Amino acid sequence: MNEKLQILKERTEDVEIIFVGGILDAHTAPILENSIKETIENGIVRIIFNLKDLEYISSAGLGVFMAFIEEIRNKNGDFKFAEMKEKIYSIFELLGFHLIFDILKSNDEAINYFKNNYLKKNEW
Amino acid sequence: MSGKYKLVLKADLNELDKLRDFVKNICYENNIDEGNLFKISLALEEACVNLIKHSYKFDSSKQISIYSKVEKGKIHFTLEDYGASFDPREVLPIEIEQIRKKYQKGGMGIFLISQIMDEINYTPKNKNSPSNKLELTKILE
Repeated sequence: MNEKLQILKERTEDVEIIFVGGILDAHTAPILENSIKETIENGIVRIIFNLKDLEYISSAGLGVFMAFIEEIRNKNGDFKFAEMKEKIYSIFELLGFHLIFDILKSNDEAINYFKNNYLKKNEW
Repeated sequence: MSGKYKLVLKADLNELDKLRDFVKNICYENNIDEGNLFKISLALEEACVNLIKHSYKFDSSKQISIYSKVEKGKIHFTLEDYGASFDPREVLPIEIEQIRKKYQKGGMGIFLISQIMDEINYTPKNKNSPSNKLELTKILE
């Protein structure tokens, strides 16, 4: 486990919650990338990223989500985000990522989105 | 080079912590709020990562010097490198809609710098100066 970036996974039926905490920068982004790859290889395509302990994100970190989103949506899966801090949200907003990802208040809310099969479409 | 603060980084992604600490110290000393600190750190990281990748091709024996000063409601940074010249303004404006539509992984860094910083200037190395200089200025609200 990298001391700058913490990743914890929790499985609920066919949904995996990945808790990402610490610093997600150009240096640590490959760690998250490998971790997501592993989850997808295990056949999980419905993933919630709980970002309550995420303190920092840069474009390299955001790029990790972009790298997989098309693949998992093609497999009828999605990424949802839960408990994101305001400062992290401000970066998602700057890039318009709030328009392509569901950003929710809690894990439960995100799980419900999956249960109701609500998949966000790219709005362009 | 003018600037009250100076940091020299190796061209290595492992050095980004030092960069964030540097920005944090300047912001604390000048009462710059958390929101600005976060965005300024991000813009500086994006600029340094571009230099490490494109100017120095991950050669960690190379260095980036960063100078900063805060005056008249503005924070200034000058990043100095000795690698290949690259004027980030040449790729602006970036079509961020295209990045989202095509789920592109790259191209976001320069877009973020342009959104966060109010002025971007670039002077490539030349016969009078052996280094490239990228100047970033943010007006503090």
